[in-house]
This record gives sequence, structure tokens and C-alpha cells, in this order.
Amino acid sequence: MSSHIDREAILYAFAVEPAHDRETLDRYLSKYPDLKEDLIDLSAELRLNETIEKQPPTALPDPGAKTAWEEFVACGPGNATSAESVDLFARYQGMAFAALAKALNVPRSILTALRDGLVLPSSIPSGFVRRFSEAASVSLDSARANLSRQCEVPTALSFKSDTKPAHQGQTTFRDLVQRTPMTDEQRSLLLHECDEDECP
Amino acid sequence: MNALEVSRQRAEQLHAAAVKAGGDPNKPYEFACAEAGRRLLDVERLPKGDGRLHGGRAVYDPGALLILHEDSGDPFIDAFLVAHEIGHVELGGKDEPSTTTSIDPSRPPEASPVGADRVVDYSRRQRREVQMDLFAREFLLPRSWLRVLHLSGGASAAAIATRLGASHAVVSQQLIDALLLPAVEPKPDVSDKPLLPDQATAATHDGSPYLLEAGPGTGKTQTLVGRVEHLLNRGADAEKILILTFSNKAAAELAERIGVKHPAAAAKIWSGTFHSFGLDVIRRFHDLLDLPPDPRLIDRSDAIEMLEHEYPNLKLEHFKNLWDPADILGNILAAISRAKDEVADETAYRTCAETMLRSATGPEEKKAAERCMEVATVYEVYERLNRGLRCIDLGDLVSIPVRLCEKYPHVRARLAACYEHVLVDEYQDVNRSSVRLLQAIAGDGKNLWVVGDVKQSIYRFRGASAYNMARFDREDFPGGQRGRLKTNYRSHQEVVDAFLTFAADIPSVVGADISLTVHRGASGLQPEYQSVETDEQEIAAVAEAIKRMRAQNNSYRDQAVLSAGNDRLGRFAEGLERLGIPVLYLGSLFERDEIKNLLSLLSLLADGRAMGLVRVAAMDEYHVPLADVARVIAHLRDSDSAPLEWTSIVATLDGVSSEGRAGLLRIAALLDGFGQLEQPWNVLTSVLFDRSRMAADIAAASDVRSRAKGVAIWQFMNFLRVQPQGAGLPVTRLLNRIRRLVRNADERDLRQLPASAQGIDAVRLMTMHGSKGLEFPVVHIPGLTKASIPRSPKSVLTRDIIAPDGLIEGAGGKSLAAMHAAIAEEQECLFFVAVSRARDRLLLYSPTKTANGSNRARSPFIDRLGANVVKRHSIPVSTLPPDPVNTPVALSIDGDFRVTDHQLGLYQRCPRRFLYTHVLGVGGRRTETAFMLLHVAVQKVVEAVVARVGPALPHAELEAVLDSLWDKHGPAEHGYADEYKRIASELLQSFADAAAGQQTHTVPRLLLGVAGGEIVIVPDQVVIDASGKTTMRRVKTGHNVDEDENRLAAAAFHLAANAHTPGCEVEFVHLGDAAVSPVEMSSKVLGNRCNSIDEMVSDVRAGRFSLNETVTCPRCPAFFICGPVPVGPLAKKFSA
Repeated sequence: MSSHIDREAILYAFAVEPAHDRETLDRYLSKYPDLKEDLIDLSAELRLNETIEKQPPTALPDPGAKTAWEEFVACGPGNATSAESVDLFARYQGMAFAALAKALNVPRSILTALRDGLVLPSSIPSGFVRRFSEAASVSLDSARANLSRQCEVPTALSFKSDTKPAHQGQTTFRDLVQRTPMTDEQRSLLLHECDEDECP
Repeated sequence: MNALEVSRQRAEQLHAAAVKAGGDPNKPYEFACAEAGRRLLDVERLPKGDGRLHGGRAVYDPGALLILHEDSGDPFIDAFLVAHEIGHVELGGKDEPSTTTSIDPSRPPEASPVGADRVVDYSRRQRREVQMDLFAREFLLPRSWLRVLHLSGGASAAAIATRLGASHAVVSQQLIDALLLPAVEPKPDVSDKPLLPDQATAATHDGSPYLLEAGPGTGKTQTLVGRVEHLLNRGADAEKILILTFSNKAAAELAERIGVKHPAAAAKIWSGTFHSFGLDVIRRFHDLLDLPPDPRLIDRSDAIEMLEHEYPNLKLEHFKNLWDPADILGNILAAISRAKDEVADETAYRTCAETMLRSATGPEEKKAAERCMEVATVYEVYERLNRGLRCIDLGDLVSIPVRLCEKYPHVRARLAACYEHVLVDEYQDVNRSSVRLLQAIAGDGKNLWVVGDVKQSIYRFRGASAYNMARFDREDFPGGQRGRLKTNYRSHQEVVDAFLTFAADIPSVVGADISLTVHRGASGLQPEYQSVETDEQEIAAVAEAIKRMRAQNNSYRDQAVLSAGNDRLGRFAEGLERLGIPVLYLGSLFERDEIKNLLSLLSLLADGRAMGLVRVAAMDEYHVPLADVARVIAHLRDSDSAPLEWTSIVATLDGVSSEGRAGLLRIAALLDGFGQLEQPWNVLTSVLFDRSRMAADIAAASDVRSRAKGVAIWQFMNFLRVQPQGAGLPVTRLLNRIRRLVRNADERDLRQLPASAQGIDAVRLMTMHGSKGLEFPVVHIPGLTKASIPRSPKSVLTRDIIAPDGLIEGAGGKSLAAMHAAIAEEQECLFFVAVSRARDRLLLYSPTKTANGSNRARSPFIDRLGANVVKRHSIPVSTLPPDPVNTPVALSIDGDFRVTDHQLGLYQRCPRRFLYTHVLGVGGRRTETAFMLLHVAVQKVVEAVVARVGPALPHAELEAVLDSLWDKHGPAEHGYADEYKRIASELLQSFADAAAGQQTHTVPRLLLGVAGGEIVIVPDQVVIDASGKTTMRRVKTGHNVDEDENRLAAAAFHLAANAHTPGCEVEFVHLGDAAVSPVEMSSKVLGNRCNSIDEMVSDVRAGRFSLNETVTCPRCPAFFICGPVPVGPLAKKFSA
């Protein structure tokens, strides 16, 4: 079944955060601006409760907890968007994204994996980063920052899977290349870049 | 046209365009990828479980113009995944990412509405996935292409599957849809008209609970949709709108209509029935209820089975049935369900019953109260069993949420917060538990908006009540306001005048303003009432009127025949067809000819005696002469064969004609290679699409009858596809389940026509209940006799168990009186619904004579329609041709004709069953219940002592005999074996009591000569009392349901006994009733019976075996084969 992000799951995720301070709230607000009112209301309510009774967290028997945990992980502190890094991929949508993949001579799914933070940053060869910076006309630093993302699921591509958890951690660039069907020429270029850097 | 059909047609167009663009549909994966390419989408195949698939099987990523799918290992499935995502792109989801986690390539377009499944509806999101699956299948294998491949190209499903690398199931499912469903003609969508002033006022009401009274044809649905649009336009959050409807179909229609202008909102609004909403609530709060997250929903058949098991331990007196308690348990379950409608649990039920018993004054009241006490006992056991299994039933779906809300304020608060706006359709049909649920979730009710028409309240038996309409703005939602729609847009003045005149006297309406402005004005054509003499003439009169109306530009599909009951409709459907009128009426699905043919065929997989051959052989395609079938059946009876063993001997069996052999071999080929463990759906798809041209012939024919056949088989295959798991062989389980469904009338929803059948140009036949919400230019209502409408409450309540006093809220204490009043009013509402369906013409009919010539008065309702109804009496010109099913069998009797009294009795009950059992000898064994085994054991005891001469055996000695026979014949392995044995012992006590103090004597073989033969009677017991008087007895272990002592067999017994021993008495002993019934017929009666026996014998000799359909047919061993028999002569010995 297809998935759409679920308001309740986000609120639930927020509710089970260990703290509901300003920082946590900001993190959620920047990620889910649509839910601004709900989140503020909920945080006020939760903080009130927290001051009244400080209870140790207990295991949740609800299946919603799983979804909430995923949200929780996805919104982890490490995932906070730092002020200096601009989301480059936001500029590359649709035809622009396709053109970028073409310029890099890779299948589009290589690029979505990078966009979604599915690739271990340390495993991305510098040759590729360089080509990326050229194709996207950005500095090497910016290219590196944009390719070094934490695991992230784009809105609505996320959960409610009946089969397996949506997040499976990050993979190496080399593994990604090996798992993706492409022409021999494309593959040898990418693997060559990996070899050059002695990437894992 | 619904959303699924729209998307299917879109997929078909895309397929055609893709082929035109050079695509090769024989390579599905390349075909689908090329289509993606035309949309500038790349398709990439990734290993299963790759992170980029986000846990799904396929992903559509609009930001990257990319479809990703797992490498399923099956190129067709890969193609299907791609096509599914293209569906998302094509059908309004171009900018929305999607992840598909599951697909069902062979999913039927509509879920089968049987048993508990009928309440569980798809969520809006699930509906969308269903839509994509159907889109994908249609894009890869459009119906039109498959029709060409199968019909003109002669390609079987297997051949097509191989060619495309697809599974047999996918191709079969698509062929089922392609060949059996009528093609839907694209219809322009009805443009939404703006709301008219009174509708707009209602739709924009604000600030208090609101009840809109909306009579027939006033634009109720449009106003409801307008209300939702108003809320959305005003900025309401779609997720906080809840619409409760009476049926899933109504909910889906509303969602679609709202979706026209607000597609995104329509997907978020919760719309569905009270039951499906209740199920949703139960799932959300399952932990508070100690239920699993998705508790199993048991239906009536499951519940009966469960209680049957417990029955011997319940020790019921008023509801005692020692033969087969299933029916009685069904009635008790209906009473329990009614209690749940009132949110009365087993304790509340017990309390009411106890109060009733304490205050009972006369024996009648005492008996009624005691019956309620027994229901309470069953209710307690039933709930305990359900709790143990953590199951719920349909009645729980609303009552559990009500109790939950009433017990836990936070649940109530949570639900109230979830739904800011609550809308209810058909408010006149809600019951008390639904109102209480509304009170719980609608908060102060300010945003509660309901619409209904008290004159159309036709579900009183489900606990709906005018009471709820009356108290809406007073007790239930204080401060509520009422509005009314005052213009009828549907009918002409003459029709509106008639139904309003009628409605003015409905008790809950009396005094209220129900007047309507008629938008369409007068037509100058009054409603007509035509009386005719006989039932058959009535059918002819309707047929003639249909033709007359057709000549006046009303096509067949513009006309509907409405009737109060299903039985009459079946007769009408047959009769009208015989008179050349095309009709659209499925009737009871499992009793249709083409379905019985398939079921008989399936039965061969599990039946060594091959009873099903009798029916299959009669099919045009196989055409095996009757004598050959009888030969095979006789051979199997004597040889104890395994199922399908006949297929290997038929080539060499002597005494079979060459024509018969060829037909039998063709039947054998249909089932070749299938075993007992095969799933019925697989067998039949192969039979229909690989091994025969049955489906192809239906698809190629253009007449309405074939279309109806196709629709029936489609409905049947849809039903077959998903069968509950269980022990035993799939075919046997299926056949038993069907028997149960028919017996409990749980298959009623299968009579509904699928959406695509709506375009067929044929007269619609439906019940008055089924006509609700519909309209037709011409409405015919036959059968309007005084006895049929209004039915007396007593006749409606024959099977019902009256609720204990005090249980029904608003009944003013006495349940019986309240139920009578409710039924009386329901009958009026039903008639009101029926007559208000007519747009232009309303035609009413009734016969004035019964079959034996007595007078039948017309329904008083006709006269209540006012003076404007034109009344006339006439005799139709056409006459009804005879029913072909009753064509005589060419039987020749070999030697003397001698039958037993049992056989005679069977012929009297059902001549057709006599044919199967005693002429063709196909009486197979039924599935034996513990009760049946118990009776077998008792019967064996009676047989064991019959030859004794001397003092009648006392109970203790009979018990000793029982002990010796129990392990072999009784239900010794059953968990309640001791209880069953106790019952057996009770039955033997009755047997001992009946002969106490008497001498038993040798049993003679009696002969009674009749015209054309002899009746042989062997009594079960002969006793001589102290005065020397002889009594001959027939002993039956069950109950006396048919007044055995008055039947033909009793007369034969009496005459034969007195010829043998003048002055002797004849008695029937029914052990289940502990009663002895003497045969006391006057000589005149005996003479009449004798004549009847003579006639019966002559009917048998002439091969006349008419069909006698009754409610007990599903129990008959011949249930599935009953109907047409093979042709040709048959020689038969009757030597008893």
C-alpha cells in the first residue's frame, strides 16, 4: 500500500521524545511546518504534564510505537539541518533532476540514494564528488555537504510498510553501484572512482 | 460510472495508444517500461529490499522522474509493479510520491459481499490501491484484447498465460471480467446542479444539532454533498469530517461525488457505515477491550456452528430441538443481535427476563418470560465463547464502542476531538446503539447534521425506530433544530399525490406537514390498479403492461417490478422470461441453473458415487442419456469407488451407449488431473477458460439471459475466490458452506448485481427493500393482495423471539406490543418506498383468486392511495407457457410396481427427491452432525429390539442395548459425548414409556394393493395391551413437524394394518416429542387419501417428478443437482 505521512504518527513521535524543550520543538517545526499549531499545543500540554509528574518511560504495547520510533529516528538531533548547508536537491526536481543524473552519467536511482542519505558519506569517492560539484555548479564543500546526508525519507515515501522496516541504514557507494543495473561503461567509471580513493 | 470503471477505461485507452505507438503487449515488461518512457520516467529494477524501495515493492518518485521496483524474479510481476505506479501517475497522483508495499494482480474488481466480510470495507486509501491494481491489469491485458484472443483466436487462459509469462490466475481473473461482465458504456457524468434555496439553507445550517427531513425525490444526497462542500469551503479540516451511511455502497458513492470537486479532501474524509466505523474504533482501542489489534469477526454461520457444539449442554426446554438445533439457534442469535442493538449485554438481558418472569401473570406471559430466560442462558454461553476466542460479532461492532465511550471518558474525548463534523445519512434507519454512539462522539452535537425520512423507515427488524427521529431534537440532542426539503424533483404530480395521500395515515406522520411542491407538474396519467384472476394471469398482465409501456418509449431498463418478497420475484422472473420479456434478476445465486451445474461438477471431485453426474450429464454440451447416467451411478453404488474413479472405467463399462460414453468422457476430460485437494476457483477457471467454451459461448451470445448467466458466474467466481480456511477437503468445505449460507439466508447480498450490469436493457426485478434510493420511469407492483401487504405482525414474527419487556428503549415496557406496532408501521413504510420510486407511471396489480378458487381481496393500501387511482379488472390475452423443468421423465416400469410407505411419504414431500433417491439411487451421505449420529444410535436400538416377543423392554434394558451400540453408531468421540448419550437415553425413555406394560409381538410385512401397484409397510413395533388390542406403530426418533399421522403414508399404514389385523390401531411415536399420535381418519378421509395414493402411483409411473421448493432444500442431499435431468428413456424396477 502507498504511504502518506501521518499527522498522528508525527505527533506521537514528538510526544515520546525524551525532552520537549525549545530545541526539540524547533527541530520538529522546521521539519513539519504544517503542523505548527498542533506541535505547539502538544508541547505545552506535554510540558505541563512533565512538570506535574515525572514518570519513567515505559514500553509501549501499541503498534503505533514502531511508526513513532521511525519518526523519532528520522528526526534525531544528528539530522538537524545545519544553517550553512543549503538543500541542493531541492533545486533539482523533475527534469532538472533527470538532467543532473544524465550529466553525471548515472542511473537516477544512484542520485536518489544520495539525496535520501542512504549512502555512507565516507564511502563516496572524491572523483564523484568533484563531478557532482561541477555538474551542479557548486563548491566542493557544498557538494560534499549535500552528499553527506543522514538517512532521510522524503515526505510521503515513508512508512506503513506491511513487510519490512523502511530504514535499513546506509550502504557503501560501491555496494550501491553494484546493486544498481547500469551500462558496463557507467559501472566501470564509478567503480574506477571508488578504486582510486580505495573506498570500502 | 464509478472511479474504478473510469480508471479501467483509461488503462484500456492507454494500452491501445501504446500498441499504436509500436509497443508489443506480448512483452509486458518492455511494454510497461515504454509507457513510462513516454512520460519521461525512468524505470529501474533493484534487488528486493534495497533501501531505495523504502520497504516497498515499488516506488514512484516524482522529484526524480523515476519508478523503482524490486526484482521479483517474475517479469510479469515486474511489469505489473511498473504499471501499478503508472496508474498512480495517470490517475491524479503525478506530483505525489508513492510507495507500493503490496499488489494483488488477480484481485476481483469488487469484493464479494458475503458473511462478516460485507461490513469490512476498503478504506479510501485501500480503494486507491485496488484502483491501481485494476489499472495495471487492464493496461497489460485489457479486457477487449483478451476477448479477441479467447473468442476469435480461440486461445485458452493457459495459452495466453504462457504467451505473456503471466500466471494462470491473473489471466483467468481478467477473462472472468472480460467475458462475463457486460461492457460498461461510457456515460456522461451528471453535472452537479447548484443547491436550490431550501437545500442550501439546510446545507449551511450552523450552531445546533440539525435534522433534515427529506422526503422521496427531494434531493437528499445532493444536499448532503452540498453540506460537505459547504464545510470544506468554510475551511473545515477534511480529516475531521465523519459521514455515517447505511451501506458501504452509499459511502463509496458519496466519497466519489465529493471527490469531483474536492479530490484531496474526499480521500481524507471518513465515510462508511456505523458498523465499519465501530470496527475502526474497536481496532484503535483494542487494548482497552482485551482484543487483538484485528479481532476476528464471526458471522451467523460461524456462531450457529459454535453454539451447536454447546447445545446438548445448554439443556433448553422451550427451545428444545433434538433433531437439528441449527434453526432454533439462528433464531436465538437474532434475538441476541437485537439485544445488542439496544446495547443490552447478557447481564442486562438476564435482568429484564427475570423481572418479566416475576411479574408474569398468566401462563402465556410466564412462557414468554421463560423463553427469554433461556435466551439469556444462550447469550451468556455465546459471550463466554466469544471472549475465549477473542472474537466479535456484527452486533458488537456498534455496542462495544458505545460501552467503551461510556466507560472511558478519555476515549470519548479523543473521538469527539477527532471528528468536528458528524453527518448521518438515512437517520430513520439507525437503531438505539447507533444513536448512543453518536451521542458519545458528537460532543455537544452542535456540529451534528443528520438527514432522514421517517416515512421510509424499513429496517425495524434491525432495531431502527421512528422513536429516534421523534426524540432527535428533544431528548437525544437537546436544542436541536429541524428542517425540511419541500420540493419533489422526481415524480409527476399524480404519483406524488398518491404517495402523500397514503403517507398521511402513517401513525408517526399523522398531523405533520408532509406536503411537497412538485417540480415536474402533472402528466395527465393517473396511477393504475389492475385486478386479474390468477397468479399466472398476473404475470401475463405485467408482461403486457411492460410491452405497452415500451411502446410508449420506456425501454425495458426504465421499468422495474417491485415485490414485497423474494419468492414472488423468482416466479415473476421465470414467468416474464417465458413470455419473452428480458429481465435482470439474479435471484438466489446458488440456486441458479448455471451455478448448480458448476457446483455439481465440483462435487465430482469429492464424491465417489458421482451424484453430480446426474446434473452435469443434462447440460447441452455433454448430453448423456439418462439410462447411461443411471448405469454409471448404479455401478458406483455397488463398488464403493473413490472420487473420479468412474472416469477410468467409463470407456469399458458395459451397457453404456456410444453417445453416452462420448459425453461422459468429455465430462471426465474437464476434471482430468485435478484431485480432491484442488481449490475450487482453480478448477473452475480451468474448466471455463481452458477445457470448455462455456464462458466463450456466454460471451458471444447477445441475449439478456446469457448476460444474466455471465453476471451470475462472475458473482460466483468472485465468491469462490476467497474462502475461509478450515479442516477438510476444499470442495466438501465449500459445498457445506454454501448449504449453510443458503439456509441462513446469509447469501442475500450475492443477489446484488455488479455495477457494470446496470447498462443491460432489461426490466429490473427487485424487492421493495432493495428499491430504496432508486428511481424508475415506470414502476410495476404486483401481488398486492390483502394477505401479502400489510402482513400481519403475527405472521412476520413466526420465527422471532420477542425481547424481554423493558429491553427495548422507547417501547414503553411491553416488547410484544412495541414489535407489533413497529412491524405494522414498517409495512406501511415499505409500500410508501415502493410507490414513491416511480417517476412517470405507477402500475399496481393483484390476483383475485387462489389456486383452489377461493377469493383474495386486494391490499387495503391500494385504497389508501386516494381516489385518483384508476381501477379496472381485466383478463390478459397472453398465457404463460409451462415450466420446462417439470417435463416428465420417460420411465418404464420393469415388472411389478412396489414401493414402501417411506418412499410414498418422500414422494408426497418432494417428488423430485423421490426421483433422485429411489429412481436414480443417488442418495449420497450427508455430512453427519453429532445430533444425526445420536439419532442413528437410537434408531439402531429400536431396530435391535423390534423382533422381540414378550413384555416390552423397560428403559434400563434399552439402555444396555444402547451401551452396546453407542461406540459404533453414536457420537462417541464428541467432547460432549456424555450429554449426547443422556439425550439418547431420554429418547429411549419415551420409547419405553410408550410401550410400558404391553406385550411386543412379531412385526408383520403388510401389503396394500393400490391402482397400478402395491405399498409395502413394515411397522417398527407391534404391541398388544392387557385387553388384547393390537397396535402397530411407526417409531420416529425426531419431532413430528409434518403431522405424520395425517399424511398419505399414515393412511396406507392404517389400511394395510386393518386388512392384516382387523380393528387394530395405528400410531406414530415421536421420541423427540415424547408423544404418541394415533392415526384417526374417518372413512371419507381414508377414501380421499386412497385416491391420492392412486394418483401418486400413476404420477410415478408416468415419470412426473415435480419440484417442491422449500426452506429445507439446502439440507437435501440432492440440493446441488436438483433441476434438469438428462433426457431419454429409463427402465426401472420397483420391488421394495
